[in-house]
Amino acid sequence: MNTGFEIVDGLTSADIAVRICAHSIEELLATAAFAMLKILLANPEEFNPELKQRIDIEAESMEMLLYRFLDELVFLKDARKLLALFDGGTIEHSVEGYALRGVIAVDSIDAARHRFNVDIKAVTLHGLSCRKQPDGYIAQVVFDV
Amino acid sequence: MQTAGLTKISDCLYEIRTSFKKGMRVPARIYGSDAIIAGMDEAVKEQITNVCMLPGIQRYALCMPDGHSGYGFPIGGVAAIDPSEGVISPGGIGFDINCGIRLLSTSVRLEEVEGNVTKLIDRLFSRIPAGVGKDGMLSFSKKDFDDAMVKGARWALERGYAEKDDIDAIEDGGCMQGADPKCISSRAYERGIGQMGTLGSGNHFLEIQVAKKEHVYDDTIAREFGIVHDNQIMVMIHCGSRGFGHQVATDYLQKFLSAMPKYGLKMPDRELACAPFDSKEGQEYYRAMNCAINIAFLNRQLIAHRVREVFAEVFNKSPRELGIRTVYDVCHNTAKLETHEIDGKETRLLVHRKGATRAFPAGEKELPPRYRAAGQPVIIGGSMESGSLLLVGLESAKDAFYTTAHGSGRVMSRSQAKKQFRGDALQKELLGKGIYIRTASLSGLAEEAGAAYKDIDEVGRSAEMAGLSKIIARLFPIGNIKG
Repeated sequence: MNTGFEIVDGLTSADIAVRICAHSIEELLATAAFAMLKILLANPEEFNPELKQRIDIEAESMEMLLYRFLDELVFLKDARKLLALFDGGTIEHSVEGYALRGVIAVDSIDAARHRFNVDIKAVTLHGLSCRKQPDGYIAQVVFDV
Repeated sequence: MQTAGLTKISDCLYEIRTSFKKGMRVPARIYGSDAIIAGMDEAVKEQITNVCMLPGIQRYALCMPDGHSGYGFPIGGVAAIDPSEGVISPGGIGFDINCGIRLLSTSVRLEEVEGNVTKLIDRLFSRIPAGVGKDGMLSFSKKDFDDAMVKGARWALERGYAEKDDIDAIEDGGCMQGADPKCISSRAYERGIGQMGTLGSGNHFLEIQVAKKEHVYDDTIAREFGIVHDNQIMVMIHCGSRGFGHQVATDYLQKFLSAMPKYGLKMPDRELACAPFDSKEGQEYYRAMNCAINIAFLNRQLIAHRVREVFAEVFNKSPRELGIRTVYDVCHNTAKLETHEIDGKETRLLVHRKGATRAFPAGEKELPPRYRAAGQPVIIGGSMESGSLLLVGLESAKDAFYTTAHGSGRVMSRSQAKKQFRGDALQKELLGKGIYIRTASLSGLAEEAGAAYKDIDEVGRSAEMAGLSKIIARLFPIGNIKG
């Protein structure tokens, strides 16, 4: 499996759809957060994390875990003016669903440093999927921009 | 869009019968000329027929001529639902609750602005927060923000950021009743409280436009709408409830998904999550949505106030001397309780409009007194290249629950547009055409290129031929700020 992300055309005209491939769910979350940062920033190399913070998310399915994780990053951007990348963690799977106990690295939005392409205003349920494959995971998510 | 499954009802109206798909409670109707229909993406057909499955839907699910695929509902989608037996669906309203347009008229003429456009746009760009991560114009305490959610634009009037005349020219007087801050999550508070008076990004803009005499198509109504002389400067503001509205939609979409099994509700698309209007969840969302509608009204009001300040600084005259007046402020993404005729009876309906404009005709009692004789001003915002349209609501739009188009509607995806256009080249090209643009993102500018949108004149013509609204004037851009 070729891991990483790509922009998917044809799924939405007004917004941005992304397909993500990864070997593990942890890698999937990390790649999804990176995709989000690359969509947001024209100069993602200027992401210089100054702090780390805990992130705990629970969801009934893998795809809702991905949805809530990305929704949390949208929230942090607007409410706390923070950009974030996944910095490791574990995902527990039980009969109740999935629980992420993780860490994100965060950088405060700085108009002097960060050049934005677009804003991501919401994560949508449109075309949202996250499937286990023999050699990893494939997910698709549409961002409202 | 392929015409398979579509029955032509008239020149600008097509119908999809209930036999098209299992579960459709009513037919779907799509407004548009042959060219508009041909250019519409195929997913619109799928999405609008899904809307037909909403419990309580009356007569038809509608799609306006600027329609294109969205989430759950298509953009341009309209569903009127009997609230006593039907549902409310956040997907029928959209994430940016009360995204809308305000149009300001001025007494300034083009000749007075020439030479000042750069200064005006630069000043507006520096004074109106636009783009990602910008602080709002005002600091709000939690109590102030609660108050703003309930009062909307009237909050601004109480604090000197509005004139009474502004409030009279906003849909619903700039204040939706039934807003309850207790239905708002702490996340929505946190996202919204620091963003008041910000333009945002994406397709949101503030534009300086010119009304030219040769493009005024009904002089009498244009005068009623404040266009009184040739080469008159107008200002258009397009934005919504910012992160606050998005969080309200996100919160309740998830609540509704969890609640649907309890009410025995099942829809073919998760973005059509819904709850009975009369249920606890339905009522809480309705109250939260009304908070977001009010926050968007206030957001546009604060920006309009800042426009007045900037014009006063640049022209060294008071806003009153410059004749800056709100023509009208329309909502695009809402669900409102309205009275419409169903089978000859006046019926209370919850009209969902997602990327569509309410367009009341002359005589409607909910219109401000100054527009009761002419009908409601309708503002269709175009791309930064094409300009925009000012229209009026018509009685013939009765079958469409008095609704018309809201914009041009995209035909090209953002990634396609970015491959085809460069922001810096586009900015230069538009400057050559007399349109000065300031943007927080050149990449974002490329995504908003005129060619990424439908032909606004064709959209306007379709709306007019379908009897949804009548074109009064075309407005031409000379300067634009984008986030």
